[in-house]
Amino acid sequence: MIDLPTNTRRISGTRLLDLCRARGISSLVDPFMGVPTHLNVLKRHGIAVHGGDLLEWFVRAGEGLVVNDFTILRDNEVAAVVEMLPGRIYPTDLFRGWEGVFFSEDQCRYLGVWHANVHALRSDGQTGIAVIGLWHVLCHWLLKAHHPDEMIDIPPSELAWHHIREAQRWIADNGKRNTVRRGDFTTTLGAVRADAVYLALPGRSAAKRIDARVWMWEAWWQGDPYLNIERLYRETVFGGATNDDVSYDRAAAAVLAAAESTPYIIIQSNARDADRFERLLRERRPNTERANLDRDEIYIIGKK
Amino acid sequence: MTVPVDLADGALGLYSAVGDAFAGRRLGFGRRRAAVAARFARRRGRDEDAVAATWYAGSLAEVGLVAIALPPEAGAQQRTLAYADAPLHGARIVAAFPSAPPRASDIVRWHREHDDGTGIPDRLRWDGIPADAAALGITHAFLEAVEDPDEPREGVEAVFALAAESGRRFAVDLVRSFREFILAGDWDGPLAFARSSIDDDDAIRLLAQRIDARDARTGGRSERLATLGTMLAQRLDLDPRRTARLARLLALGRATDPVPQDDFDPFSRFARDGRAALAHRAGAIAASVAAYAADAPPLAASATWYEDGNQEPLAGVLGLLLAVDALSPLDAPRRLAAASGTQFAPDTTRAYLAILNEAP
Repeated sequence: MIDLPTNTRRISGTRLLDLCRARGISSLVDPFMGVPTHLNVLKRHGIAVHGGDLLEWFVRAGEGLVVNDFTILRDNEVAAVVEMLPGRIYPTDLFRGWEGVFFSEDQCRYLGVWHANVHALRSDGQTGIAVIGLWHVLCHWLLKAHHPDEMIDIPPSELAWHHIREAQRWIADNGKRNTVRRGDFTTTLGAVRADAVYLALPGRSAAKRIDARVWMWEAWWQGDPYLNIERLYRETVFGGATNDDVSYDRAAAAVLAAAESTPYIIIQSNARDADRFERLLRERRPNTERANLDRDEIYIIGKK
Repeated sequence: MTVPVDLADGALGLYSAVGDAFAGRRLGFGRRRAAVAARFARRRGRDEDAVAATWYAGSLAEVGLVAIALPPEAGAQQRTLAYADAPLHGARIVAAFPSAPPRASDIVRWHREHDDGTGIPDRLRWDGIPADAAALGITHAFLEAVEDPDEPREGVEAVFALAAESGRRFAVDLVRSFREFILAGDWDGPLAFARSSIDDDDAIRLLAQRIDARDARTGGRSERLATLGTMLAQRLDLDPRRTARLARLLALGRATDPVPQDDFDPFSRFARDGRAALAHRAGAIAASVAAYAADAPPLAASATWYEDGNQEPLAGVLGLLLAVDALSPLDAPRRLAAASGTQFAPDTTRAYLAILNEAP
């Protein structure tokens, strides 16, 4: 059984929406987007959004939830994702490395089937919806391993069906061009112009403490249960030794420098780190304000 | 005027009842939800500020529905997206109350989030959902099961029905602690807070404006009716302040989804059934809140006609206000004169025509 970390960062699209509306911000870029549900919320409310991340499955999810304006999976297409198709040969042992450690034999078989079925989808939008929907199944299984008697048993295909259908309820068009890309923050910030940059900066040595539910899904997407996700971060500014204050400040300052041309920079922080980020932002933007909404939710907003 | 009131039975109770009406629930559901959620917060060892915020949020959790007005032809997807914003609208309404505890707004905003990240409005997940909001969410689901119109349940039965959502809509630990709370008994019963003050007249004015704004045809109507009602009351020796309040409370009749069509000729007998339904809904909502119970009879009677007999003067004034608001001032003298003695009391009609004649 694998530990499921607590202290999940609260990334709220509606909160960002309130901050954007109060400042007339109509487009926003998030170079560390993670699961892009917040960008989907902003998109639904008419804000042009752009995201980037190093993990490919986040980007795939973004293609489903952020870039995609209208593509959905019809019932027969959902069925073709969640179940084995007759006559097709599946790599059912692809995730055997996880069997007995994190998942049951049956679950590992389904992970292999879904991996093959999702990679066979022809549209990026459909792929993204399936990726985000099936990720919820993985999260459910990992949680159920902790609480086997307190969560009901649901057949894998039924659970997958439910979550894929649930994920695609949020597809909407905002009449604007929305993008996601795989790359570090300099790639994302260099590729798009927006009214605001939103930064929920990675924590110290974030790659070493990444949630199992996140790295496992990247491993699933890549079809490699032994994937070492740390290597993706190693060459970024947050990938080296950022345990000490000086090097972490240097990494954060590099991000702020890359966002220099953007009219607004919005940093989300918490009571522990807000002073540090405010100091760093104020060095570059004297016109900086702070919204203390909660101990876990402090926004530092710098205007150019 | 700011007056200290028992919030559950004042304007806040009215807001809560409006949320209930829009959600199609029993009037009073919201106040029961507030009481149960506040008791649960106490049991979880929350401080009194958090308990008060939970109670406040519990009362107003569904009031955001007032801001959602969809055309009848709206599709399922359009409805899903619009209703996903109901907690956000509710949070904004709560935040606009000067007396609201600071945390209440965020509890409303996130009380419909699901532990597995499938909730609304933000699809927050796991412990990213504030604990007080998640606690209100499970309380809401529990009372929905208890008060299910098709299959009402006892508390113990309802709490076991929530077990299927453990690890899905609600965190496993939360389901466990909520079950212990319910099984311990003493979870029900009224619980009110009288610590804050609220400007009732102002709150009602804003509520009526929000209901009016749901339909382009009724935008600003309540304030027009209140202004005219004050003038008529002064001429008819009625209480002007109460008349203005009742004129605004007429908007409660439209606290339902979809937006009721009430612009059919108000002088037509064919419109009576529709108008009576609106009047009765306004009366029922007012009657569900102690501070406004006395206002319920004139509201409910506002659709009666003078010829029916025993028409209360105040109810007659309200009926006339609604009718003349739909008329062009040029048509009013002719059509009102025709309806005097049948639909409207002659002295009320005369008073209104006198106001028209004196208008510059």
